[in-house]
Amino acid sequence: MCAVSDDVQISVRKMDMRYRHETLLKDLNFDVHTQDVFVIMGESGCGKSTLLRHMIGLTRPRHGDIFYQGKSFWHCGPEQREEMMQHFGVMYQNGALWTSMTLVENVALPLKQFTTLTRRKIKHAVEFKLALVGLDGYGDYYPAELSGGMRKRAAIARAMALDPKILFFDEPSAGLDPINSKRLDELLLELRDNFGATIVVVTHELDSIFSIANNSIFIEPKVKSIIGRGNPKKLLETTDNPKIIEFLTRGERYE
Amino acid sequence: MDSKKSPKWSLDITTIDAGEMCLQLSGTWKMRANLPDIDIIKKSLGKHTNISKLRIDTSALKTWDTGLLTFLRDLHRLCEAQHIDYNPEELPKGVQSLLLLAEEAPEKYRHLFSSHRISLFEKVGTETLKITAIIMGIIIFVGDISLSLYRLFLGKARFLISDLILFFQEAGVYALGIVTLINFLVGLILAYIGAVQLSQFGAQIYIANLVSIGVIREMAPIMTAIIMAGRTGAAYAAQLGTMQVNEEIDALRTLAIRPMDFLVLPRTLALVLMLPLLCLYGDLVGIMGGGIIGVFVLKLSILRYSVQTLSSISIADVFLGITKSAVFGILIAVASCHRGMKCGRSAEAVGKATTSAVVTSLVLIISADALFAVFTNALGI
Repeated sequence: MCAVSDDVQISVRKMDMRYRHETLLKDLNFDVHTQDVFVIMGESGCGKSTLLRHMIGLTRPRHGDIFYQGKSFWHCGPEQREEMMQHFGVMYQNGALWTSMTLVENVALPLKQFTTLTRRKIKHAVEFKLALVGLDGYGDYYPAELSGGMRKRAAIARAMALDPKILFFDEPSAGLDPINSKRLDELLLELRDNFGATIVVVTHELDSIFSIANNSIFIEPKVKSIIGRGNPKKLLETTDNPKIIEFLTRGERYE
Repeated sequence: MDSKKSPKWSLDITTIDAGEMCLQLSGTWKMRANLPDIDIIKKSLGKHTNISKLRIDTSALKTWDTGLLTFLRDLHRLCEAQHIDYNPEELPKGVQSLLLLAEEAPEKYRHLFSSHRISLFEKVGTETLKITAIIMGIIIFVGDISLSLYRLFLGKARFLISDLILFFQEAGVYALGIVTLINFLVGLILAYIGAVQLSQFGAQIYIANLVSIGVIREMAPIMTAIIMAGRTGAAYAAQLGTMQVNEEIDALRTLAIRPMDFLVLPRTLALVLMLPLLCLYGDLVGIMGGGIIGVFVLKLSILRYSVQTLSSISIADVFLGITKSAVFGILIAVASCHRGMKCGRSAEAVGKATTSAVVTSLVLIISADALFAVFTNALGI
């Protein structure tokens, strides 16, 4: 086991990741603290989403382990893993809404499966979640009838359905208009402050990164490892790595 | 199970003086803790008709989640409906901001799609229109395929030759295994049926006639077509349906590539050209299946059986079988591609398209076969 202090929610230790037969990232070590808004940054194709897949239990790491509140996630039985996964809320990059269900049914499914709430309470909870992401009144629509951004927001509502302790978002604000993108950022902070949620976000929207993140890692595929970490604002001030500077300034800061 | 563990919430309703009610929320308000329903408030409001002001005391509130928020949202609506004054600023900061975020949501569009009662006449009318639209759709689709074929002969149809070869392979070589098995067994079954009847008259040798004519005229074309409907037809519908879901077909259209030429034409060609070949192969295998019963079970000599078989086959029968399977090929391709192209944009729709592609193909195959039976009888073929 690894030594973790009380407020560490997730700790990744010595993790190696592979995609097919290629090692993507080696020897990853990082901690996510409770109520962090933790951002995983890096250029497209560097393995951010794959890292997320490892963290949410879809892909087994080649080596190493992930600990949730000190409990091993990959070196335990599937039942324990499923038990831990019930406390996750995940928003997939393309929404991954169930296309044969309306938005209400999509968001209600986790509530129906994992709680004993009455129908009416489920309905009200779903309406509230949809209203939070600005989709009030769209409950009876099928995902195919909505725009990409709306689908994304519905996926966020579904991820929040059970008020999970840990929320994972894969590119939440890509494809959202600036207004909804800002609303989403506000929502994430509210969820963190009020529900004590820990939030892990894969993103490369600079505005979001600077306004919500208090911790981060920066992944570099060439060295297959983490080349920067910490609060992104501080990271930008202190780092001398040209790659990180270029990323966080869109290459607009000339020195 | 965890009723003992589940944290306690409590709700005290008191009326302070005439016209003012106080709700005291305390403890843990979590969604899973079987929270109170808004009806409780409604009831006590019903008892005191003169309430005009509501106070909410949350000073003893500990932790909370969506459960509390939905309760308060309901309360807010109730107060609005009954014109009761209530001050949301008494609520904890976090509650306020989350409720506000939910209320801020953009304009509702629901009223645009307000539902109204549909009368029987309207239902019958819309259903009729739907059915006519479907029939028109099929006619247009058949027309489109014809135009595609015309363009093919002019050499103007745009599609990938590599695709076409792949479809030939998929609808031809890869289907050989199952076609062999089924036709072999069908020949075998025919021989057994014949054996029981014909041996009563000592006419076992006519099993060769029964098998060869039965297989060549009916069984090989039908069985091969049914296999291909289930195998390749279903695959076509699923492929095109999924492409429809992913907007791949739209992507072709915007590139000025006709989906009809690019997607439907090579698939149709593959089925129409491969099915007769498979049928011919099926003829052979089926006759062999019957022959094995004739030779090994009924103890007829190989030579006699072969001679009898050859003498019973007419070239017209073979051509009839091949023609039939070409027609079946067209029917399967049209039905499957049509279902795939008209697929909705969900996983469920792809499933439906696939099912109905197979069902439609089977219905069409059997109906066409019946028509063939009537016409060939009339023409004396």
